[in-house]
Amino acid sequence: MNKKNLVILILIAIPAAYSVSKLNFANKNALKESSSIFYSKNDSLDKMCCVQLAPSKISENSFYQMDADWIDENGREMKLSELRGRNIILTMFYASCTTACPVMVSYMKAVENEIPSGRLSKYKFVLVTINPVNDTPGKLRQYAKGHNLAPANWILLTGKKDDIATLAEMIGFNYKQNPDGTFSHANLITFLDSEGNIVHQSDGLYQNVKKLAGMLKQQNL
Amino acid sequence: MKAQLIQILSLIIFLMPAAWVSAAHIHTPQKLRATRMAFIPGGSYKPLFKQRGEPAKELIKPFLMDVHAVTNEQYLAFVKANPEWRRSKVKRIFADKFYLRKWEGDLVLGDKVNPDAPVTDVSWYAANAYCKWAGLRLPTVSEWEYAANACEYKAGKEGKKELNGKLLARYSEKPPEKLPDVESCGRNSLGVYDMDGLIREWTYDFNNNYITGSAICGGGSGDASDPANYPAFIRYGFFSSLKANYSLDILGFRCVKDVK
Repeated sequence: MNKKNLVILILIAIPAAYSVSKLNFANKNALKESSSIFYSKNDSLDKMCCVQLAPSKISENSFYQMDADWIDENGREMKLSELRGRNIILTMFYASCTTACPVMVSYMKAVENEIPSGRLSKYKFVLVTINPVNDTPGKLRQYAKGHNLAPANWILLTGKKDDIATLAEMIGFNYKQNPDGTFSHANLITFLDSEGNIVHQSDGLYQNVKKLAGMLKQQNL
Repeated sequence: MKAQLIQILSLIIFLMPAAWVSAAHIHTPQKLRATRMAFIPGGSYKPLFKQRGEPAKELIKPFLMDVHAVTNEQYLAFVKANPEWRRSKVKRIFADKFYLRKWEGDLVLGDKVNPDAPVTDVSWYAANAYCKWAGLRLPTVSEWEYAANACEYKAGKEGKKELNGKLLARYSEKPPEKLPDVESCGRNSLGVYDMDGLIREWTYDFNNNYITGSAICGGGSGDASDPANYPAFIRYGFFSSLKANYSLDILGFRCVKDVK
């Protein structure tokens, strides 16, 4: 290559490299500004330490496609996908609720009692607050203690308002805050299999626990 | 030698603007959107349905609202910057199989789509993600209905009747295969376009009026604040049938912003 061509090449390469670097930077910024609530990469899977699973692909309809950050009753940050490998029994609630929520929780406890103790480690009972302003991890911890929720089987979560709304949409849990601060909300308990797919939902305050435990057994959950 | 120098100099002059344009072509969400927003003054709004114990009127804080729905062109910029929202990448839990179905490809609108028409076939999750990306949010049902009520028609009972008649006629029309441009269906007194035509729009809490599922059915309608407001019943009924991952050809969205 003669000198003339080399000079021309350098002159072409410098502005091109400059524009490419600017564009990459712009894309990074755009991604940074994009929503954090949605699943984008398998990074949450990488963080899993305690679930012995083959690294199979999460199904497109799995809850574990959600990449939001949650905080449990002990103040620990986590992703929902850390629950992968366990069957989930989940409802949404708020700690100061005195009407429907205690009934839903006692119903979940009744289901817990129906599961043979040897199989309980395959389950996680999950309560997600719809009132993140009030329900701090401390309040959730207090709630768990007050309702004798066994720490090994239960987890109480709070998160960003928008993530809570998104999770509620994912299970069809409708709720609305009333002017007096209380919430009107669905009475819905959702059952997920170990891969985060919905297998059953019970709607309503009065459910047949025995029938439900039978369903869990039948489905080999 | 002189000729070589001229050649090099002309190359520099030719290439530098190209580099400059590439750098300047950086798409920030704000630049991409360039949608005007109308100021919606606060006020009171009478919801069609209310929970027991709720006051008859709801206070709406002032906010800014996109004057038109998000267009295909604007949405294309969003999927370019956020690959997880491309048609081939999006997860089914966040958008059903009809998501962006009229687009020719992941990043190609094609002949069936008008770039300046509202984007439709987008799920609630996608609409919510777009608004967040743009530093905005979806309007609540109350905000949307409040802004839509500012109509260009005569005030009073007669004006309302006229609007209802017009809306009912629009709702029964089959939407055209290729939607027209935004801002082609009328501007209301707040400066917001197409609120009573063109498409229907996602709201943040689109289904939260149906907590027990009885608001619309049977005697539930007897609780409505204005039982003669049939178009509102149609809107509420329509939204009560939706799930957040549905993508429909008559359903798009616009964003709003709080006024601080």
